[in-house]
Amino acid sequence: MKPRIGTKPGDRIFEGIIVAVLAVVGISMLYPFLYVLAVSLNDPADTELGGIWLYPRVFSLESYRLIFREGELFAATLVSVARTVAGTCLTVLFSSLFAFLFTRSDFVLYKPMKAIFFFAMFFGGGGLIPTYMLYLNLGLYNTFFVYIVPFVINLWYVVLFRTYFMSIPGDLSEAARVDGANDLQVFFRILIPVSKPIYATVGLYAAVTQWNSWRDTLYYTTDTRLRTLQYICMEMIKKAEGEKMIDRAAMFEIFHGDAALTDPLSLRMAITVITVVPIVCVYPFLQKYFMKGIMVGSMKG
Amino acid sequence: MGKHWQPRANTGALRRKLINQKYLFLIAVPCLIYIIIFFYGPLYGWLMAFFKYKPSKGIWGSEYVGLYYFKQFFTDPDLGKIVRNTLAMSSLNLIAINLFPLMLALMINEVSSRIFKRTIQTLTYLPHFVSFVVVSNIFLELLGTNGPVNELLRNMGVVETAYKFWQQPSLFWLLATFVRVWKEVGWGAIIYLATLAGIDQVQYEAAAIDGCGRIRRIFYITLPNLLPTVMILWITNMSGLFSASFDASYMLGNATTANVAEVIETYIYKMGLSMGMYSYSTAVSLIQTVLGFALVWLTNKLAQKTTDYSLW
Repeated sequence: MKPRIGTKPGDRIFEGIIVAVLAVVGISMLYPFLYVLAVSLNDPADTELGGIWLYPRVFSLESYRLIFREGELFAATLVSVARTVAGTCLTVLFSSLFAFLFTRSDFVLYKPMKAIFFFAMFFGGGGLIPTYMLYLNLGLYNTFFVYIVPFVINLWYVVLFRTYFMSIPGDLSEAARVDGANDLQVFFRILIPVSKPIYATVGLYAAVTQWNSWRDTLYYTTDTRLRTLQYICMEMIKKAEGEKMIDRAAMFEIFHGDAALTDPLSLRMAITVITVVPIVCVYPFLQKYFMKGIMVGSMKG
Repeated sequence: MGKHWQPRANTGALRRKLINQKYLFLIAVPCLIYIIIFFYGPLYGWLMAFFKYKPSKGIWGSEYVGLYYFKQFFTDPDLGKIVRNTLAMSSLNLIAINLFPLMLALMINEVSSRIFKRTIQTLTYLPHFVSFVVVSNIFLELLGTNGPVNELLRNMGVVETAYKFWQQPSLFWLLATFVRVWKEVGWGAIIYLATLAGIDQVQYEAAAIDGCGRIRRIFYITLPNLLPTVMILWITNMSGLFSASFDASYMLGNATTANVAEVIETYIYKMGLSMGMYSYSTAVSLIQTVLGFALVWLTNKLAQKTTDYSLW
């Protein structure tokens, strides 16, 4: 695409080196995922011997079977799915509704609303404990709602939606208004159908964020029924890392060779695969839509 | 506004406008209430830092202690260690997260094969969308005692017994930075690539006619064109200097590396939620937040003085 003028022989070598370096970078990005997949598909007991690096030595679906048999893990998957679906729908709806108001400079509350918005954007939110206390006082603490309600309006998404809405010619909404449509009808019947790309962008990003969250589980819940897949994965990692501190031989002494001490590595990797697969599935769409999104983001600065 | 000033007609117009905009109010009121609760509410909570907060008494019912908790933090024997770790981890990350994406973007920009370009971009963006839990899990095992890296080192005869990467305090900052760069390098490059795509090709043609090779073109055209973007990203990333290490510290750190892994964020968590020292933890958060703002402001000032680019 770029015109290649004045290509010297040295330039060829230069490009060759760059391609080689980039190939190494590319492989270093891909390899860890292949490793995870290989370990998850290996027999859990065999994995503990080590030495798996690219493909399963003893192929087995035992780890995946374990996940679906163990009620705890299955329940965590459901919590993850529920928060992703509910959280994404709500944040997309309310963030875009709020953004819609910011396209109407004739709205009586426009100016105070703008002031409230920008102050919230720069100074809003707070440290861990102030937020914790707020959720406690609102009764969100240790309920499923703590995963959803704090994200109903995301100020950043509002900016993205508004930028997109502003780029739509006003004639469409104007024509609908002349035909007697009220503001809500204009929003739902005119604006949403022509703004699908931004809904896809924000929706995908919100969904990925929800799916990947684990710190809110750590901070704001204690109920084991509220544990998400990410959180359980985190707990398993911490536990396994803790056990690595202890000498293997000493561990055998203490626990009399109790094999069920650690969750097997293969199981942890299978959970990892399950948390990554949905992301890989939506990844082509993320790539397609997100380029535009980040460009809008760069304008903000 | 009109030729004949009639107050009554004017209030009538306002009333009509209010009625016309009733649906806008219907949206605005709940949204604003929400914003005030969730974005302004925590601001009120900052007051806890100045009171000996007891949940049963509320903030105003608790005893006012002024700057007591701030003094406590500044006399904490662990203060030096925590600040050192935070600054070390954050500045390493700050440098790496600004430098490597830039290098990656420059390299991708020099490749002529579009398919190769796309492949590299697709591969490098993916880790950004994966949670830090997953990324930690991967690297804790890859570099673990039974992992492929140790396998390779053993086979090559570099080490006899497995090298415990994650239990070396001297390596922790570098490894944590490496993991974070691995996750974000491709994502960080996007913004540079977008800027690069916008550079006027005429500049390159002119340079080529003047006999500039590709390396010189990078230094004389590409980099100067990227400078505004680089500056803006530096300034915005500055705000994270005292924060944003929680994930790396919490997930990758363990008992043997605790001395180098403890950062302000994990300290706030430990003090506040694990030990229930609400006021103290809030005071530390407040210091961290104020320092973050101050840093952005300072960097921005500096950027204004030295270059022509700044955030505001």
